[in-house]
Amino acid sequence: MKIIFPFLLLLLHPPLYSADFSYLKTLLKQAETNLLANDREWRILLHYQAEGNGYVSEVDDPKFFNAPNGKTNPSAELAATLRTFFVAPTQQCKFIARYEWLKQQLAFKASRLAPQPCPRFKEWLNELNPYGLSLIFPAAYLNNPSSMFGHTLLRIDQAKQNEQSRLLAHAINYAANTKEENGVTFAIKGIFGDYPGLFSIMPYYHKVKEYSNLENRDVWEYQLNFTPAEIQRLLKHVWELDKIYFEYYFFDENCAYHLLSLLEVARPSLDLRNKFSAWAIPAETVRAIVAIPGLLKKATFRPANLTKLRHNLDLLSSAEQNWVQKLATGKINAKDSQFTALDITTRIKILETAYDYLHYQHKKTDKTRSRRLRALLVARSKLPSTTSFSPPPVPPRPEHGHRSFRISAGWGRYGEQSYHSLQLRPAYHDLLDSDAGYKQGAQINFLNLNLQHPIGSSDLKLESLKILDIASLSSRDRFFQPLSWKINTGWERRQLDDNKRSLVYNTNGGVGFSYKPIAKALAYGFLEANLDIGGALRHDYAFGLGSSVGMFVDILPNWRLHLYAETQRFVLGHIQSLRDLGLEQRLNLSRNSAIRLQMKRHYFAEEKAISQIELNWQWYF
Amino acid sequence: MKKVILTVATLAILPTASVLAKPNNVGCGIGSMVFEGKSGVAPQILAATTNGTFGNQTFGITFGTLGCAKNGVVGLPVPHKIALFADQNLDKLAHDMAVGNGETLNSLAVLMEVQDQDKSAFFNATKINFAKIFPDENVTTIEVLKSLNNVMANEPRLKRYSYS
Repeated sequence: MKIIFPFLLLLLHPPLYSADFSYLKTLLKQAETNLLANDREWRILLHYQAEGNGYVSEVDDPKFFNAPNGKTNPSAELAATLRTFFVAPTQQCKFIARYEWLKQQLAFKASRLAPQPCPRFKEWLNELNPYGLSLIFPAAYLNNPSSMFGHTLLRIDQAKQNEQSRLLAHAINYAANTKEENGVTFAIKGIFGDYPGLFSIMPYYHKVKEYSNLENRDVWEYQLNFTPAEIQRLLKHVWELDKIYFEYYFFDENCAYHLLSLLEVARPSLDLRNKFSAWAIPAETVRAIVAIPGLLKKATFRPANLTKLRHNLDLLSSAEQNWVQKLATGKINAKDSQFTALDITTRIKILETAYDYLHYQHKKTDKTRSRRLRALLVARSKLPSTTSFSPPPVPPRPEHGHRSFRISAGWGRYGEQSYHSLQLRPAYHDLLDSDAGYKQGAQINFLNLNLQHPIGSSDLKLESLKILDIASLSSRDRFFQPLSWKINTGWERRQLDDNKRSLVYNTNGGVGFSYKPIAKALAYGFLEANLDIGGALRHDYAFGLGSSVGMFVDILPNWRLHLYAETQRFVLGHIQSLRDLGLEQRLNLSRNSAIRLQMKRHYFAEEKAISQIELNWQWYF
Repeated sequence: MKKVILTVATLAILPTASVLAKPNNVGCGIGSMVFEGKSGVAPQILAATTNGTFGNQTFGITFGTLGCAKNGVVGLPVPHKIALFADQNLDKLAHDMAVGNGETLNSLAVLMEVQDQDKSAFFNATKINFAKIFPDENVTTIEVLKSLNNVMANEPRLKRYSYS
């Protein structure tokens, strides 16, 4: 009988349960009277944004709505949601954030709308063990367009968690779900919302592995002041977003933007998304979040493996570095009597660095190196555990760097012609801008517009419009031999003869080496290829090869010089040779303002030359 | 032993795993080799892995999709959650064990519920027995966890945390 009983119950289930439709009617009326569908919280929970006279939800997945027209009709969705709770009570668990909010607003009577136990949700919440919330910001990663401007995610911190156990917390990540492996295709399709974006939860150690160990990106962790109740609300909403897709937009509805909406769910009084409706650069959203009074509890720097390794190598003497190299390359092994003759502290440092260095270089298939890695650790395990190295210095925080939208205005002279200059650069950072808070040697200019107004005329001329201009300068030394590279594309003016400067569409790419001759300087050399396209060119195009060398020097912390020489030989199409010799200087007046002075000598058309000088004031905001 | 039975029982009755399991390669590679590091540093222009944006992580809010199906691996010497952590962090664990401390080793201790007062014993035991726990460069995560269990079982202070 005992066994049969539950089955009986199941069979009897439909007739036993009958929804209390008169109570539903009461609630619907109450919701209408209280204008609940217009409430900010309802709009946040359903991701409604004002559009025209009405509202449209940013969520594109129909599964997210209870009403067929839920995407565009907040009150229909509210009514349908209430109805669902009566007709299919388990949906209270599926839409638990909406349920909790409506329950609170309408003071549901348990006797007339029975609350559901929601065991799966509870188990999930229990596993998350939420106690705190952190915003995680891995630094920009130039080698992939999707993370060029950085990325943000949230971390649910656990009760009793500390810096030695935060790996076990969980990360909430929003990303485009695609198998696309071509970064360029990704970026282009991403601009047009061609990918579904989804939220996911994973252990934080997955993310640390990805950033610190594989991509060598430094990470900033911002612990935020949210109450446990606020975090619960956020998680209930995240639960509703399980397998719900948004159209992913690279620029506006991206990771950074959608995390803002989670924070608004947690605390509806925060108004964050409105500031980023057109454009959400992760670093700028971080700035906006930590600027909210009282929201930031603590900022922690998590250096990437490579950052630590470079720092540790710097702390070693050149003799010690020799040992590192010998051990890592297998020239000697750790049992060698010459090595064991060294004092213990020195051996610890050398062994650890040799391991880190070899591990960094290591390729999966290399068995010899695998054996060597293990041997280094065995040797290390026989020496005491005293910590040998100091942690790397903490760099300036990203939100303490310059803002990324830059406007420049000034005066210039090109040959005999004086002009006013006006430049707009919506994002993000160039090599002459102050590095504080940015990745050194990384440049991304996006939609950099440069206008000139020749004095004495009424024209406003387009001098250049660079769609994208990326450069990655990574310095080489005895331990690291990375390549530097650059690529840029956009319209610019070419001096084609004495008095003709025409717009061409130029694409330029280069590969080269960079070195740090001294700590405050970075020198580089590139081999380049150029393609110009334009009606003013003979055959409408020009293809050329060239090279450039230059050096950046920080004279003072706020004063940087850039000296350079370039030569381009166009060998196909419009044949000509161009050379430039230039000096640029930037002097910061404050975090968000600077003066830039550029001087250039331009050689063209068989050794003719013309000089240019330009002085600009720059504001970042 | 009690713990093992309990875990197996929990895994068996969890309905979530089957409901939510999606094809997923994260963590299903229990048995991957410890010193098989990542690929080198050669700057890969427009490289193709980052942020999970390229779908190298499965997408889901629930835990069934965190790793492979919870009951997908039989004969684990430790609970699934610990095995998954060890498998994903084996390189770092090896490093921390040899050094005698570190974030990853500490996290493993937390997962194994090692109390604070016993942590230094735990760190010490894994350091002293490093060569035993990682006997060669081809060792698998499962072998590492088995040896770790043995080491702990032979250590009076740590015996109660072991799963063997």
